Amino acid sequence: MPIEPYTFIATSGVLLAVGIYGLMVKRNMIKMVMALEIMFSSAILSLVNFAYFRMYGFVDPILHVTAIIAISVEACLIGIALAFVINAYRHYKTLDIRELRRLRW
Amino acid sequence: MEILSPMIILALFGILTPIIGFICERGRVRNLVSAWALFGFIISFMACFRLMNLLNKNPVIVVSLYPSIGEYVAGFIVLDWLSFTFSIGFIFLGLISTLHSIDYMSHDTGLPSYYSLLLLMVCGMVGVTLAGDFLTLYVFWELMSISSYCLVGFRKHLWEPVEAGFKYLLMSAAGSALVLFSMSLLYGLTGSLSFARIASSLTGASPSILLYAIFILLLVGFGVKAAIVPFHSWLPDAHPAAPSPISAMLSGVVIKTGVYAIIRASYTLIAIPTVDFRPMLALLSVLTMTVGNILALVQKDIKRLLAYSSIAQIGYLVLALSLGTEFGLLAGIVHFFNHALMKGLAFLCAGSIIHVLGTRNIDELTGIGRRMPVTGVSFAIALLSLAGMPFLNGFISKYLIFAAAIDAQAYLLTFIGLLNSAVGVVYYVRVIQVLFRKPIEAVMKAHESPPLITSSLVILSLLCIIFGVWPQPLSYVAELAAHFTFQRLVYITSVLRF
Repeated sequence: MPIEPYTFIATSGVLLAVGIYGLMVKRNMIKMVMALEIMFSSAILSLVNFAYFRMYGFVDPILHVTAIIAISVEACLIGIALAFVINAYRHYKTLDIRELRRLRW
Repeated sequence: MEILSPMIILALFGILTPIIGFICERGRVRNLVSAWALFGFIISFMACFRLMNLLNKNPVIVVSLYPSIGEYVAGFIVLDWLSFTFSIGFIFLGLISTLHSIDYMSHDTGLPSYYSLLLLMVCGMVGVTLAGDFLTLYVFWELMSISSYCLVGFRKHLWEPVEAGFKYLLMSAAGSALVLFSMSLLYGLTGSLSFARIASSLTGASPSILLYAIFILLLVGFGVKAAIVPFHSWLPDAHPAAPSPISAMLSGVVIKTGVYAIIRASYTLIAIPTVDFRPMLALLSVLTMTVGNILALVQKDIKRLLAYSSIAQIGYLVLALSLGTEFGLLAGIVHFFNHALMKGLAFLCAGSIIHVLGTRNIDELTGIGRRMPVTGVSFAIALLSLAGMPFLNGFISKYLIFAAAIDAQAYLLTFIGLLNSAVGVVYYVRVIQVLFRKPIEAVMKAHESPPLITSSLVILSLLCIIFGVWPQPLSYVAELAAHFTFQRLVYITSVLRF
């Protein structure tokens, strides 16, 4: 059974929604970083999808390059985010984002 | 290659700084690494200034690392007046911040990584302005963002930078994920990532929900970086938590990359007949100004007050962009440059005071202007300029923005903007009053900052005054930038080589 392009578009849209939901609702810092990663994954899936389905019989290498670069950039980003999480844990002894509320207004 | 030279110099110096720093630490000359970074900025500034000659001959110049026979597809650089104006502002403020950092950061450890990150952040910002397609834009955008997260969390032994940095990272990274997503949707619509091809494909396209959705995604993605109001909550935490020269960079120029990207998205990529961005931007600008100004009124922390004032100033900038006229764009570009100067100066003055007193509470600064005359007077110049006093550069750009708004017959927007301006004067003048009152006990022992810090302040305050009484050079460049950005056909035809 051939897979329709709309399946991928819908999947990436749903993933984006899941990521935004996780970022807004979750209280654990690691889970928030995971939500961020889901958002990036949705964008990358969408890139690869359009590279394949935009023109029949032609896969655009530029978008694959973009996807690979995006994956590596995202890895750097997650590394820095986890470094922040470790440092926050050292200061607060918890991963609960609600405890990190000394900054307000 | 000449066009790439400012960026290549910054990247090269940024990569070599840790090695130089290692050698300096071994040779017990710690400050040499600061001089090295300063040297890098000076060369890069000169290289960037020389690009003006090229632009005078040809308003849009395209350079690719891979010379192609046909159309440029991805990975190329486009230099026009808009990118020149922004990049020279970025490099100049980087230079001044480095000059300030030499004494300000002298007690910190890890200086090589600090200067390396600073150089790479400016390199990323210059790259964003020079990008000709979304792939290049994204790579440099992330170079800038990742360096700035690290710089915000630079003093990781304190709780504030860690908390603020994490907040900044989450919001800003979510924004760039949205940019990546909308980039893929734009590819799905037009089949290309280059700005010129997307713009030419969308010329004359009828308005549709999908195009509006893409524009809103781009606006949210870039708006997080630009601290437009519903997405601003990271800014008042992140800017005070960073070391002061970095606050000056973040407030002065890093948030402007978001504004630059919004200009590109709204004026070059998707023009008015396709997506009417004016009501959206006008609404956002009103929200941004009002929230920024009102929250700045209640601040007790000097750097937090300046951070909220940055949000308000971004509101004026977005107001200028929301008019959709060439005059409005001109006013916005002039305001970008002036705000970089005056907000950079204000944060560096705050840094100079913090360097001496070690406190950020406004009440504890009573009378510091009398004990530190150079810092006090420069701070007063910066704040008066932000408030929009005549004969200082802030007045010129505010005047231009409101003149453009009246010219575009946006009377309600002008009225709200003027009202906000008046509210702004209240908190700026309050700080100046506190600075020059009779000094309190704790302040009596204070004395003027080291000469390198004061020299950076003097340079910026002189520029504030010079551009206040003689704005012609600035308005000349801004006029060209606005003209060639507004005439998007020039951009499209030069890149696509029709």
